[in-house]
Amino acid sequence: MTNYHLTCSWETVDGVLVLRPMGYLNDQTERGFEQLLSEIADGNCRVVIDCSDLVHISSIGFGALLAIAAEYRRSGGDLRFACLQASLARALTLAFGSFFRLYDRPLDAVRSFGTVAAG
Amino acid sequence: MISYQLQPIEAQAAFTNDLNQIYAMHQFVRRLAIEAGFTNTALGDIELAVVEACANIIKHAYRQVPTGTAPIAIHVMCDFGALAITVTDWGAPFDAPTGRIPAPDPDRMVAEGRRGGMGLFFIQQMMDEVAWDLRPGECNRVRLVKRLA
Repeated sequence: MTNYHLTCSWETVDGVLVLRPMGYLNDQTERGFEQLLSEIADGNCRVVIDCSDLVHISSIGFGALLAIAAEYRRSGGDLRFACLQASLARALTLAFGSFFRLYDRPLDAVRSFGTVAAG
Repeated sequence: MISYQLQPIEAQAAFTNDLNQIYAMHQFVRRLAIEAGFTNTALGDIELAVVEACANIIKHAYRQVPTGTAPIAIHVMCDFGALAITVTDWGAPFDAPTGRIPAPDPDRMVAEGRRGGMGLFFIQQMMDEVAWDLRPGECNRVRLVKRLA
């Protein structure tokens, strides 16, 4: 019986792709997530993950996000996070320190790209 | 509101080596953890540790075993404000860490193209106590303890 699922909705705000995954990012879903993100982003490497409906991220999921973020940075963009639940934010910070940038609201994360570009 | 758990909670359940069963495994633990009084961040910590422990068993201890054919037993006990989760498998033993596992180096992981290998780190970080009891030829047990803050 398969209980894991990951669906995504998305929009583009000020040129930044805001992706809202719903469900689990783990061994079973990370490949599909990465493929979907690649198709949706279509070359846009400024991406915000709105984690409001992300139930769980496994270590494999964290590894996938790390690889995606590194790829975007090589292209001058980044992968940033908003609304990450406290436990997952703590895990992310414990594992990767300040590698990832976390925000309370998706709009704050979107605006951070503008701030970086202007500054 | 302050609530007290007056009666100890104890339950056990059996699963098999199928990644699709991890959902059922952590839901089983989660339900008992909520019953014991754990909320929010602590629940997330427990969930992450249990998922990683069970995934490690399926992917490593039972690496050579067909999916869905090998047992994984989970025993949960909550008493005196501490939730103790014992996960038992009968697969291959592994080299259990003897100390704290250092945080991964993200730059090195990226350079090496490595995505996994963080499960034990997360287990240690998320729980208050972690102990492995490895008995080659018999079984492997990991005991995870989380205390109510």
